[in-house]
Amino acid sequence: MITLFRQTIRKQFLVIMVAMLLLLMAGAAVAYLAEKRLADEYMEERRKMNEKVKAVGLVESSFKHTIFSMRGYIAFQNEEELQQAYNSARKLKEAMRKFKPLASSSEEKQLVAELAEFNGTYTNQLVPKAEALVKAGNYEGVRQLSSLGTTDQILSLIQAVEAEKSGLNELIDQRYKQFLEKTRALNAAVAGYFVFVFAVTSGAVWLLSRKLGQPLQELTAAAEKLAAGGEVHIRQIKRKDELGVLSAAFVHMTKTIQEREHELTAHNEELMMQQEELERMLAETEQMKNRLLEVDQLKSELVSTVSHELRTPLAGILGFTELMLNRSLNQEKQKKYLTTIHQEAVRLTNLINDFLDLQRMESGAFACSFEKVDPAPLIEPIIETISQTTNRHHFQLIDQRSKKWLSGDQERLIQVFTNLIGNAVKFSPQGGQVAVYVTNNEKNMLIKIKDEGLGIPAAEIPHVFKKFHRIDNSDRRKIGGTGLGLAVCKEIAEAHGGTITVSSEYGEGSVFSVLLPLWEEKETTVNGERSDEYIDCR
Amino acid sequence: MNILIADDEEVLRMLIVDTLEEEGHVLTEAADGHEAIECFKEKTFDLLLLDYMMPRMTGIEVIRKVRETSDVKIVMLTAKTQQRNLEEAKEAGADFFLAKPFSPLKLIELVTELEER
Repeated sequence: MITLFRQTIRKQFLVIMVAMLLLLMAGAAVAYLAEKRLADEYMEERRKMNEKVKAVGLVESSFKHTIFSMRGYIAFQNEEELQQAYNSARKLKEAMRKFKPLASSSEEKQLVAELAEFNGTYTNQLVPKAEALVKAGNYEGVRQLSSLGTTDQILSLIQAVEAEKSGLNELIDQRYKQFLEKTRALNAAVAGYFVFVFAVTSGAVWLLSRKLGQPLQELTAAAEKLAAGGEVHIRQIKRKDELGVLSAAFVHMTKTIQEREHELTAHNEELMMQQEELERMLAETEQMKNRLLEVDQLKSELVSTVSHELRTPLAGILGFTELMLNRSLNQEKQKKYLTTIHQEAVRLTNLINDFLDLQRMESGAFACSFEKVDPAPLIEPIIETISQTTNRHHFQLIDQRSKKWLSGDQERLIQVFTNLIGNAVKFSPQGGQVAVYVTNNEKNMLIKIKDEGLGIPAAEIPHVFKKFHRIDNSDRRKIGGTGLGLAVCKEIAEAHGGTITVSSEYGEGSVFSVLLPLWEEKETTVNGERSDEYIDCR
Repeated sequence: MNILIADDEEVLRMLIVDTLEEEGHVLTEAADGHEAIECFKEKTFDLLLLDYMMPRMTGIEVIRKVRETSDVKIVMLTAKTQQRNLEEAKEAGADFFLAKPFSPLKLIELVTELEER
């Protein structure tokens, strides 16, 4: 993020410093000017005063000289003295002219006026009078003239001038003291001003640093919280300096981090879901693998079983044949052996046929041709054929149908009924009744084959339709069989969309029930030559 | 020799009985493992001909049971597919194996050989 620092902290400090410098410089300048003016004023005043003092001194000395020379003339009648007196009087006049513009107070002005008046009177009236008197030698007149108060006036004037002189000197001293005081006061003011400027600057710096410190602390706290993994809600500080920029950057960073974090969390959740999915799939794969292993095991068991089942009759056939070939046997034995060989060969053939049938059905390579089938004419010849092999059983066909036709493959159904009725005979070695019931409901035809034979133990019932499954019972082992008959029956029934079930009471006999769908006339009309169609049974 | 034949197949028992009785042996039949064990409780035998695959009790289980009390010679009748189980049978105590389908003449030879030992 590129940002222009419009009002940097450095600039703020710089402004404060420059302001302080300017204030100090201005203060110093003002102080300098004020002091200069004060000094100038003082010097000017002092110059004037000195001038005044000088003027007053000149007035005093010329006045005294005038009086002194005049007195000398009067006393000694010396013309030189008189000339001196006139010269001094001129000098006094000159000094008076100089002093007059300097006289500022009313006393001074009065003194100037008095002196001017006296001087006028003295030089214009008294001196010429005294000169004339002296020249006339009239000292009485001189005494009278001086007793008219001239001397007193002179003395008081001299006094006044001296007082003025000393007063001026005092004033100079006083002014000097005042000047010193003012200078001191000014210095104090300057010092105070500097302290003030320093205090203001310090205050500004303090405020600035406080303004910097607080948001920094907040940012630090927020950063620590963020680092600890907490949710941070920080407002952007509206400032134009580095802190404003830092705050904006921090807020931006926080937002980005939190967004990333949310993104990460979402991503993480997705990953976890994916992992779960993967685990689920893995479990499925594992299950499938186990199932495949199971299938594989079943397959190898099947191979082993088939091998055993094939070898057993083969062993009989080969064994008896070898005996017949190698031994001279009597007729009876020969017949017995041949019968056995024949039986075993038939058994082998049946086994192979059943097994191949079952394989075809299971692999889906077997098709049924469905047609209108009346089950009774199918069952009757089967009963007829089987009844000829036994004299212990009696057979019954109980036809309770309301509908005549079922939908099925005639050849396959013959196979089923032959198998079931044959089993009913085989597994009732003591004989008894074998009954075949044919009934129906709205949709299905039910054919039940009931015997009074050995029955099936309850635990074995779920397994009787499995391939090569034989009930572990020595009685049954004496009864031959491929172990495939019922499995074939089940495949055929299911291929018809029907079912085959068994119920049995061990020792009391069994009932096998075959449920097959009824023939539906509509199908024929709709599908036309339905009976010719071959449908994959699976 | 006094021989016990244990096989669930009646035809095979008949074949073996007919084959060996002609050679002068005395044969007893057992239709499964349990019957074989029962026979061993009643009599002693010189030779046991034992089918491998029998209901209720397998040939191996019969061997283990028989070997608890007897050191009778045992010949197992097996199909070739059971070859992988022969080791187990040998460990359990079977002495010889005869593969099904077997030749009766070979059986006579084997029994004669065992008798002569």
